[in-house]
Amino acid sequence: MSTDSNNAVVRALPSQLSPTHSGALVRRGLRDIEATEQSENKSTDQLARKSVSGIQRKRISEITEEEKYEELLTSYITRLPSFRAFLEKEQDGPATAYAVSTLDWELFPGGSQKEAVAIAKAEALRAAGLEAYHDQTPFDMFLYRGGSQEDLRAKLERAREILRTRTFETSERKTGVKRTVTEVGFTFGIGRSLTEADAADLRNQGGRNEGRAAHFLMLYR
Amino acid sequence: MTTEIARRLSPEEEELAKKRAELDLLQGQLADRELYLANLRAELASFEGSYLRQVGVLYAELDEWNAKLAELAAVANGSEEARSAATQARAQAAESRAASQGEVTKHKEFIASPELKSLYREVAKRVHPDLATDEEDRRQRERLMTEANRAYENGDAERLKAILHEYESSPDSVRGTGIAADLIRVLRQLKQVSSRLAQIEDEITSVVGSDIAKLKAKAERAATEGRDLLAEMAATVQSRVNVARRQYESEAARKQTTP
Repeated sequence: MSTDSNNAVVRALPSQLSPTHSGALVRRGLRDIEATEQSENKSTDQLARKSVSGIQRKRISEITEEEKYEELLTSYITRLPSFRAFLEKEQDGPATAYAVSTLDWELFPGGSQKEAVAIAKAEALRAAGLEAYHDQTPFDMFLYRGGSQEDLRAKLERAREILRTRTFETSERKTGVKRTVTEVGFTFGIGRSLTEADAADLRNQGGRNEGRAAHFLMLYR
Repeated sequence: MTTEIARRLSPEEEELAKKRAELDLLQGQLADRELYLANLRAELASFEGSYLRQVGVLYAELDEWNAKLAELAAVANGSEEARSAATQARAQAAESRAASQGEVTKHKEFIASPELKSLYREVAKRVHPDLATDEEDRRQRERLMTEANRAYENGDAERLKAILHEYESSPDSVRGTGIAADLIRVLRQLKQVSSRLAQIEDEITSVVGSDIAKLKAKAERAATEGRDLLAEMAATVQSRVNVARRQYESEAARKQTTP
């Protein structure tokens, strides 16, 4: 090696000196961040197409009877079956086990990113194989019907694991400072009926949001 | 009235004066570009240190859990494929650990004061190896320049002053053996300096195109939006670590309960 190249070695960047050490870690970070950017662009695009205010949404007068029926039974945010679909299913006969879950919104002040998180949760629920319904009342709950309480618990825990790996961007309303939120969780309660499951979820939340109990009582009395 | 007798310069002396002026100009340019390159490298090395301390260390932890998971699977499965996967995962974990704990992580934030920049520029202008007149001179200049680069990256102004002093008090810094020899030396220096200037531009292009420079550019763009990219990356890798850890703990617990 010439003296010139010796000098160049002393001056080279650490990641250039060792392609198998810090260079590999740098490349990995860059690859991950580029993959995240690509996926964010894709999600934003998908969200735009599905958005409530999306320009591609047809006027009611323009949609077919079949599409109207589907709209009635589908959550317009998550595209999961809606609360109305849940009630229809109940009329066919009760399930053996029920669950109710609510997202932990404390990480998202002012409800920022609420749609993105709800959509991510719906994707996690589908991936875990749950029969899930999105109840878009002011309490914004997810309802589940299942064959057994054990099966519901296992699938909900799986969905929770999946959602925890997702990353969201949020910003402080006052300062505009952006934050990355990970480990988004949700509480859930399981029971033989929906009211029992709701009471269990409320207990898991430490008794917050008591008004929800009245919501179910009103619907089931 | 006074009469001054002005000696007319010989053509060789005129040529030497012209070439010396040319060299002086190029030496200034060389010092500026060396300073620019040194700054670029120091800033990137500092950023790389921050990246490895914040994110690299988490990749190493993730690889450790993945290696443990692969080893559990190899024991449970017993196949050649599973054993090979476990060996690979373990090697990856060892490599990531070594990288995340290496010397680079010691690079702290780099902020060069105007005094430091000016000193480095002066050293580069006076001591640069491409101004060497013979092999011995080149060796001495290279040693001093290498030390100067280190001192600059460490923000050590005192060391830069000492290097300058050491060079100026060396007998090699003053040489002269007649106009012809001087002219040859200056012409050679001009050629070397021009060649180094071209080399610096290539080095700048290479450094700016490196992975760490791309990552730094992304971090700077994020900062203009009020975001901390390294913190975001750390949060993402941390969540992957948590998932891998939970998966390992659950697999290990299941293995213990299974006879």
